[in-house]
Amino acid sequence: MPKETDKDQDSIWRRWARRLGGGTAPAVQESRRRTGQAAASVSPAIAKPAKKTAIAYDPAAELAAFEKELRKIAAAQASVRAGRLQMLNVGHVAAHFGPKWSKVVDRVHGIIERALRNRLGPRDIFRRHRELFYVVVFADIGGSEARARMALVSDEINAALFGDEEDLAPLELRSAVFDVDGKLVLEAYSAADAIGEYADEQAAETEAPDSTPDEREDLSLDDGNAANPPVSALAGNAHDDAKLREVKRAHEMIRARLQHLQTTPSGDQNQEVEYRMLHDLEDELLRLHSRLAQRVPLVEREMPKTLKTDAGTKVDEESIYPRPATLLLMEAENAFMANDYDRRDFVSDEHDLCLTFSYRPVWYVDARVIGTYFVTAHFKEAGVEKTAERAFRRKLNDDVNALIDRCLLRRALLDIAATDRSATSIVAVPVHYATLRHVSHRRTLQYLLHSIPNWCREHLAWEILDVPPDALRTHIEEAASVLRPFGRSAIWRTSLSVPNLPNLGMTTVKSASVHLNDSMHTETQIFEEMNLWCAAAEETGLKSYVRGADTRSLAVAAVSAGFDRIAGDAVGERIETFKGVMSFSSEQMYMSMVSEAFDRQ
Amino acid sequence: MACVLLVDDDDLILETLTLALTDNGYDVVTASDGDDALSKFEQNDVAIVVTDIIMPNKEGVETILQFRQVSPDLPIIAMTGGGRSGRLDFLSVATKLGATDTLKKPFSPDELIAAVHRALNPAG
Repeated sequence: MPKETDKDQDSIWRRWARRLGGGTAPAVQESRRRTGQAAASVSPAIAKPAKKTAIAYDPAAELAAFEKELRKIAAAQASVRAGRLQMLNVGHVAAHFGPKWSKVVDRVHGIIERALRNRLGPRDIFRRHRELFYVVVFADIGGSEARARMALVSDEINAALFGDEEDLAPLELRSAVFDVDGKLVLEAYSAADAIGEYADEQAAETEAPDSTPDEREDLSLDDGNAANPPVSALAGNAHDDAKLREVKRAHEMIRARLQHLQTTPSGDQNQEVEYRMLHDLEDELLRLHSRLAQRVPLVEREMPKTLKTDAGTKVDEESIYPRPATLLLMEAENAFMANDYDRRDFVSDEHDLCLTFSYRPVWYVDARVIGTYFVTAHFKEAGVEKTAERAFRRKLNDDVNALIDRCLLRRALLDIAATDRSATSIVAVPVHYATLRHVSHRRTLQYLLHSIPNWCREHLAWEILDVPPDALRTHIEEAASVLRPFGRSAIWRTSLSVPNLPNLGMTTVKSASVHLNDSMHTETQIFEEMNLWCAAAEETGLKSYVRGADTRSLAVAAVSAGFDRIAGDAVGERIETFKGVMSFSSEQMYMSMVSEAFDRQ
Repeated sequence: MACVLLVDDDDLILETLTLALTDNGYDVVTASDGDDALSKFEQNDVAIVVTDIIMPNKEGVETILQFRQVSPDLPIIAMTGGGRSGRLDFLSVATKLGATDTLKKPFSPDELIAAVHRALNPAG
């Protein structure tokens, strides 16, 4: 392995350590000294005071029970030696959520376990102890590497749960070691120190002429060791990148064939067998991809982009993780999954925040009916309301957007199911493009999609949001094909100003939409843009949808521009649940004004 | 001579129609949308309103309904070409909701003068 790569790798680890708030050599030494002191007596697991309301558990009793568990594991497994046994205490997460903990506990543990699975090899094991502790046993690696891995797990959990909030207490990490008397002690360490210490070790090994050859050289897809790569391999190299590309290519080929089979079902039994086999193969490839991806260089998380607006350049503040809102979404998803929602709002009194789900009617202009309803989620914070899709619109929040997508779909499915097959209209569910492109988000969505009964699929359509204007046609096709088998049609949300509709015209996509609330222009400018957009849509042969026609002037202009389907306050306000197909003509937009006039007379 | 309140967001149309009406002896007040029209109506002794349908901020049918509330007998002529799509649904809506007459764009100055004359002299 060339020396330069090792230095690069060392620098990655040092950068990572600095980002976590430590990692310089003196700091590490100082920390080790402190850690040594701490190791002599084990403090209660929840050392830091809870920020919010206390929750119902006894830290001392939990820790005692946990230590008992560790001793059992240590006694049962001769291979467990100092450092390989790690402990993760998520007490501060529970304390942070306060009284909401019981509502989100399952989701939080799902996130923690996903983070552990991402960083552990197949021979490593982890086990949850009660509500707040995880014990992890690493099969083949040493103490410092184990601690570094746990630091990455901790960082991943924090990022998934809290994003970029800076005032958080870190997750508590401890290494199980035996002291000279053979007594088990739990040595505390910080994530930053663990990474710093490991970076030091790696640097020392690189400098030592007799150091063992770089383990990455031995890694190959056919090698059993590849399943459990050393932490050093997490920094990645060109070899891994090439393998990743190969896997991606193979995956693309399989996806293409799967899509073909999905879109042209013949009912042939052999085709079904092929479909199942390809699906299994795809699973294998995704697993392989996940393992390889762990070795890709760790990059800084993308910061919120600046937005260019008429008022000048400003930071897109909406793109920062709004944790209470995420929490409400998680609560909503749990309630929908448990069918325990009763069409209620989800409220956080503490943050004066409310999450509401509703349906927006869509007017088919030529057919003169309301035939579709868009399912929507809105946050109301301190009296100000905004749609969930706009509350978290930037790439940084793909995780939250995927959560919104699932919530909307689950809510729609429950309401469709409640019609007991008597529904006559269609429910359009927004799905973010990033959800369809992101492997794990797509797979989670696919599990949900496959659970949709056939009769429900007849009442579903999809609106795909936040499609980059330069999205490749193949990507558009691929994303659409994920959803198409599970609904009647896929509608592509485009920008009113930069629609890029010709790109859609070369695909199997048949409908496109715009949302007027996305525009910061005046109504006069919007009129002009609607005319141009509709002309492009007609030329491309696309059915056109417009959302956000909130004033009568916008609705009238949309009709005259040539939109086929129109939604907004001027057509109909949001309603708690969707209704059946009903007649609607242009004069009904004025009914409220007419009745007001009669009332006055 | 009678004062005509002309409402359209297109300056060129306003200029052309103003010319046709003044040539035929009418006084003309212009407005660029419904809100502007209601405000000009308050300030002038308007005998008839000629309004476009597709306008920003407050469109034509909504404007007609508001005029009907403040002046139930005011003659109002609605005009539109249906925009890019040519859909003329809103002319019939305007008639149902209070327009005295309608004009489909494009129309000649003579047609406008005839419509204004008819609206101001319904008996003949």
